[in-house]
Amino acid sequence: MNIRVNPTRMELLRLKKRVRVAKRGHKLLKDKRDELMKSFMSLLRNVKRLRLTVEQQLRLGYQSFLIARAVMTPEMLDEAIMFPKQRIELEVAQKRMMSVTAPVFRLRQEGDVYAYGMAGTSGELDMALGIFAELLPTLIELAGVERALELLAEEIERTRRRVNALEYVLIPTLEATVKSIAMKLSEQERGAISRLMKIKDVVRAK
Amino acid sequence: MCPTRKFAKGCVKGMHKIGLIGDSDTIRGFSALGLATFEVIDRAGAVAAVQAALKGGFAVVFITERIYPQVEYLVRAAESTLPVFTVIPDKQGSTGLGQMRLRKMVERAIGVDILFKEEGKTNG
Repeated sequence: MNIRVNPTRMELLRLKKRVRVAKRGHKLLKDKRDELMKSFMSLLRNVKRLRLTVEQQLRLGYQSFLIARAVMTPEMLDEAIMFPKQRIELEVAQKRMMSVTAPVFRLRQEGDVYAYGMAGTSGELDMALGIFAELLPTLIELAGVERALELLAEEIERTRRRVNALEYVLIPTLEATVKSIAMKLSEQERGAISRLMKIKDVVRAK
Repeated sequence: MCPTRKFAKGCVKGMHKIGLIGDSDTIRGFSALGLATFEVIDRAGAVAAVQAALKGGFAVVFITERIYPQVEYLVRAAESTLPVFTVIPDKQGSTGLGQMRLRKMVERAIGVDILFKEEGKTNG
């Protein structure tokens, strides 16, 4: 596959330069891809671990909560949890790694989780809320790193496409074109030499 | 709230809320913690909840695994902006959707070949 260009020395030089640039870009992108892959892998392990904890702890929390719901009257339960005393807010910052911008969350908690009196509520409710409250920072962390992982995955995909496009399309095409121009030029040169020799013969024969 | 794509500079700082979309039993425990909760009963409710969550100045919205498939298209359309949607299991336990999503990400990043290796590692 060639690019259609004039087989001139100018074009040859220009194309050779482009090949050099493309190769350099290819190498850089390849390094970037490898590095992205490395951070992806370590992040992946992290996310897996967090997700596992979250799923286990949530199951425990739900269990306690369901028991609490069973032993308390619905009105009591609603009353106990209707007005949360705790206020939570998230601070969002951004972290850049390898040209991927991921959000980082920090939790700000104010007040107490237990917004009810001891009387009329069961211990299971305390337990459930305790588990949920303890889990919340982990949940927030999971949200952040999972998004980072997603963004990294996208970036890796993009980078890989670019690496492959350079490696399998652009660079071979450019090199083939360079080669064909070089061949055409040397063919011209050979033509010129033989023409000169022929002319010299003719001149000498006179 | 951050209206632009990719957490553009200047609009990320500040306080954001945390949301939870789920069925009544799942959200009740968390509402005591101060999360803004959306109770969802049917599909239309789920869509409305996600739309409300997109506009409400949330940074993180948790969504239960059983509801997520119904609103996936909405969440996907809003990808790479705040809020971040995170799938969590509900009171009936995990459907494995969270793990599936992870696996999809791996597939996307690494390609099919190494995915199988990855699966082998998790299985064995």
